[in-house]
Amino acid sequence: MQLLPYLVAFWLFAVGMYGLSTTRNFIHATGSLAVVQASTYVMLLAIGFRRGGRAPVLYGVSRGAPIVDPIVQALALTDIVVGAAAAALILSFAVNAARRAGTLDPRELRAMRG
Amino acid sequence: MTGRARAVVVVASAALAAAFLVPAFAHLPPLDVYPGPYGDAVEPISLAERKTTNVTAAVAYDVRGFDTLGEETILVAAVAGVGMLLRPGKRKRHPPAAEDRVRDLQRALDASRPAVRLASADVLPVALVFGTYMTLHATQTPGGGFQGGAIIASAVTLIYLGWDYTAWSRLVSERWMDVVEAFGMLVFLALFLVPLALGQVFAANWMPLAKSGKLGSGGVMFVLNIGIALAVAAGFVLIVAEMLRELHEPEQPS
Amino acid sequence: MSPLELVAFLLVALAGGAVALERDPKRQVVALSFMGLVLALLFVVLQAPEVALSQLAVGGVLVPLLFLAALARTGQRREP
Repeated sequence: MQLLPYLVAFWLFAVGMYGLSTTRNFIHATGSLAVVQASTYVMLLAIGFRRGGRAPVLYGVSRGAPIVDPIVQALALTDIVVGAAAAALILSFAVNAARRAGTLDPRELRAMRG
Repeated sequence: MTGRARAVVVVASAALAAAFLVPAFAHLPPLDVYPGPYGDAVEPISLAERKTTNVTAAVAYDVRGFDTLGEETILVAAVAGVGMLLRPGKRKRHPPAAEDRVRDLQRALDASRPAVRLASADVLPVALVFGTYMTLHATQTPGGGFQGGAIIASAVTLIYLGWDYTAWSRLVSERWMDVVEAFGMLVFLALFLVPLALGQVFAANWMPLAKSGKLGSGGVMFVLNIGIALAVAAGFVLIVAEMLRELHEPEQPS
Repeated sequence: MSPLELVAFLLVALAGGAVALERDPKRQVVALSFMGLVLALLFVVLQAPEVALSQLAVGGVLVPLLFLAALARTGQRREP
């Protein structure tokens, strides 16, 4: 039970990788990539959490109250925006590939390249 | 490798990784405990030296502002990449044929959804104001340039969701979004480079700090967040605009 | 671990599994939006409001919109 956050992160990574490697559709692959990225968010924030800690916003809060780690939150923030940018780029790759090759199947695209 | 073989390989590798990782997870601190020194070291810096009550914003835009610079550059590069991929080299913009226009009009009439339009018209200005509020109060309450910019971008996409592509293409000009995004990025870079001219380090907090809880607390962070919000909002609107244009004005085979 | 955190973590695991194992892209977009929502909920439970706001706006609205636009575009080709 204590391991649950890390197990959830590992499960998300593994199932996202499984979806990514056995996909037959580029757009489905992008969704699986989003799951893999979600595993990193869960891992980061689980490390930074502290029982009884408040959110790292000190507005109107007495000094000395314990807060959760703000640094991993800044990292997760960066991670989310970069993930969205990567997803947008991969989707436009997929649209371009479909436009040129007429298919979204990664296996068929590989065959056409040869 | 067939699909079945690939699936077997993936599951076997995951089991092998789990065999190593799960005992390793037992050595990580449990959820309740945060032992690390860095989070506790940053909190006094944020309030005492930067007068910022939003510690995460102080970390993201000041203490580790260099990471945010990299992230902003990644976003701008992604927007450029999407624009390059979805904009073919040379193409004559064929005006839509008469039957296409009739079909689009018919589709628009059939799909007239007054409830969605009403909801969009109600939510759009509120969301714009909320995104602006969140950007401006980055240093006091949760929020910041990224969140505010993303909310503003979502509000602008409501134009397409509530109305149709004609309204979107008339109201949202890709050229202006390019300008706004570049301007936001320029503000970001300029704010980080100015302290070099003043004899301080790169990305030092060189603006005066107001009292914590006021709007200008955090010094540079106030203007920085506005620049970030402009760049992020314009960037996301640009990505959506490129995708929608690819959808509604597909390349005509020459 | 409080029940709220337990439920949040399990919901995220469920949503992630649904996204990766759903083969039909149209259904996967709905699952993706649900995962974005559930992730934002988990972030709130873990006392990270900034991250939750960012995830809501980006992963709940913008990314599914891009998915739908890409799907519609690649579905268009199959018409003729």
